[in-house]
Amino acid sequence: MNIQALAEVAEKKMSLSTGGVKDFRETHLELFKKKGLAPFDVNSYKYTNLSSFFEGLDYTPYEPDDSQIEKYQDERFTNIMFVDGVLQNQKINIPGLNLTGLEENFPLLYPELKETHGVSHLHHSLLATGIVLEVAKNTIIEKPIRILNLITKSGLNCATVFIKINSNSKVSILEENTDQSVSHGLINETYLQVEQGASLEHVQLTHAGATGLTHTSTYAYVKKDATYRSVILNLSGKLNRQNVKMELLESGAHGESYNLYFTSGSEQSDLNTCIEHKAADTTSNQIAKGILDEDSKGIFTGKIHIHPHAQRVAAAQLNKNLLLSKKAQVFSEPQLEIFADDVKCSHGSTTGQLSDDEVFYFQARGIPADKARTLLAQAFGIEIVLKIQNTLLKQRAQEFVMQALKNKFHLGGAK
Amino acid sequence: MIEIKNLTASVDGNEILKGINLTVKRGEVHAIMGPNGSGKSTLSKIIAGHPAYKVTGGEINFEINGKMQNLLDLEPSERAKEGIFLGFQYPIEVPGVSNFTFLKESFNQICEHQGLDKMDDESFLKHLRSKLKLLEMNESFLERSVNEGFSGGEKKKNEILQMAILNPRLSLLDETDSGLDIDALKIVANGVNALKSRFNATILVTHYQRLLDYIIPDYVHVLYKGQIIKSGDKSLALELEEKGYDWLINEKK
Ligand SMILES: Nc1ncnc2c1ncn2[C@@H]1O[C@H](COP(=O)(O)OP(=O)(O)O)[C@@H](O)[C@H]1O
Ligand SMILES: [Mg+2]
Repeated sequence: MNIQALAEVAEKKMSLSTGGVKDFRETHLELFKKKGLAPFDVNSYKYTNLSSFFEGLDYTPYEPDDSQIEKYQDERFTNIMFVDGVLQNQKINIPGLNLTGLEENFPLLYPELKETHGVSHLHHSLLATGIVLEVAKNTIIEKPIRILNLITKSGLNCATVFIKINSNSKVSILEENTDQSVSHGLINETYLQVEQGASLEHVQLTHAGATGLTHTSTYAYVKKDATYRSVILNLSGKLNRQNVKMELLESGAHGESYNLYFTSGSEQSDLNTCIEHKAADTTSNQIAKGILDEDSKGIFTGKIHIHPHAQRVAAAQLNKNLLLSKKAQVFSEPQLEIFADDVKCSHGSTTGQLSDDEVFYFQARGIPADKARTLLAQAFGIEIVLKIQNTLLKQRAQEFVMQALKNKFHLGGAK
Repeated sequence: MIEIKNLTASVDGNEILKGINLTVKRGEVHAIMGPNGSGKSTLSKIIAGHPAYKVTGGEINFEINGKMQNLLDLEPSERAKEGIFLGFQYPIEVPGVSNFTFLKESFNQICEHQGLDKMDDESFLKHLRSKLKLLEMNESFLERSVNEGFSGGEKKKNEILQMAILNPRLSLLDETDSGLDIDALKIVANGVNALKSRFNATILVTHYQRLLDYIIPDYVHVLYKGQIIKSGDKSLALELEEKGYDWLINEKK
């Protein structure tokens, strides 16, 4: 029933595509109908039953509403906007940066599209528009790029983004997912290629309404001496599920994964990361932090896979959670798979509450308890935001994080 | 300024203070001494309002706007705004909150309470600089997280810096001397002395007489097992130094 409703949405949108894309979509629609949302790997969806989340979704067909998109522009960035899955601007004019549509690149790119979990088929069957961004080699793009997925109407949408950073280039990219408080499912896939000596900072910021489902999958391929920094900020939404697969393919490749999730009410944030050290002399650093209130749930699964022959690898992982309510739940699962012997690998996980002693220290200096708790929660979370190196991106992230801290949590008193 | 009458208090059901009587007037310096575990920190925290300690009897009155008022009715932050300052024996570390932010928040809360305008960052920094100088502290302290990675001595200096910024009427300094080398002790004592006036009062909690060479108390009290077993002037501290606490404890028996 549920699957059928989802499949119908994809069917209705089929007319948006022609040729190879259409064939591809139809193939996956059939696969989706057969397999549904069942995960390929049950363990990786242990805490998030997608079918039950997609159950009460409102699939009313819609017309995109682009009347208000102006206010979603942010002049600090080069904006690329999807409104209800439809790309708004086809062109950007930045030297060294090339933006094209997915359709024209499809014959070349479709083998890259992955089928790693139950949602892949649904995504592929919905794949209507997408973009390909390429940064020429030896180019530093100063102004950060912001890819906005704005949902204005109930329904099911997907965005697909291919990014290639050629050798010795540098850029910061923000993918932002938000909605106008409508019931919807947004299924994104992002493919990133960071070539030799290049550096990509990639921030994914989700601040959806109370009925928004966001499911993103990110696949990053990092080459020799290249750096990929992934910062995921899940600030709100009924469900935020992020899959990140980071492949460190050649020596000197460096990956960073920083995550911050805020949940309250009955929200759920589920981060599933996998860092693959496939070559010797690769390094990674990961910090995931959550603040959880009321009946909400936070899940962190962090796999670090060090392949045989990947010697002299250094990998560090840390997960820290702050519980503001006794009912909030945290599931933290480090998964270390180490098949080389000369490696430095560390991991740790803590879950705690604000202590009376901490709050009292502030109170004893005239700062009321609610303000003290806000400052302490801020102090806990800000570490992740400060990992963002681009100043403008950091600013935007900070604005949203501060706002969420203020509005979302009951920092006024113990519960 | 503060009047403590028959105060009894417990934590986790254990009675720790067993009838404390103490009156401190403006301009006075009192020292509270006593062996470890006698209840000195408990008394200080109760005056400041720590929620873990339950007052089971007696009263604490504090002069607010010229009138004695029940201090126990006030939230801890309100007590601080009315001029009570607790210098902690073990100041906690607050990663992620800079000293500057902490001091500014705190200072502005107190300004607001007194009906004064909040200070902007720049004027506040000027104000801070003079106090940093008083305690021979480097300006780089301001950017560091509150007490994070500070040495024992730096933490204690930081407490006195906070005191200097907030200009309290009653300061309770809990073992401010412990962990300080002699130079740091002098700096801290100088700071405390410089802030003394005939309008404010200080309660020094210590179990060594050493600090009292630099900050001269008007009264010395000995706290043992939750009660003040002897009070006197500064010569009592010297006597204790010489004979040890056992002398008093045995005498009491
Ligand atoms: N939070 C607490 N929980 C349980 N016992 C406590 C707590 N605080 C103090 N106590 C007990 O109360 C007594 C007095 O402690 P304290 O006031 O710290 O003494 P002092 O400062 O004189 O060394 C000790 O026996 C101590 O173990
Ligand atoms: Mg003590």
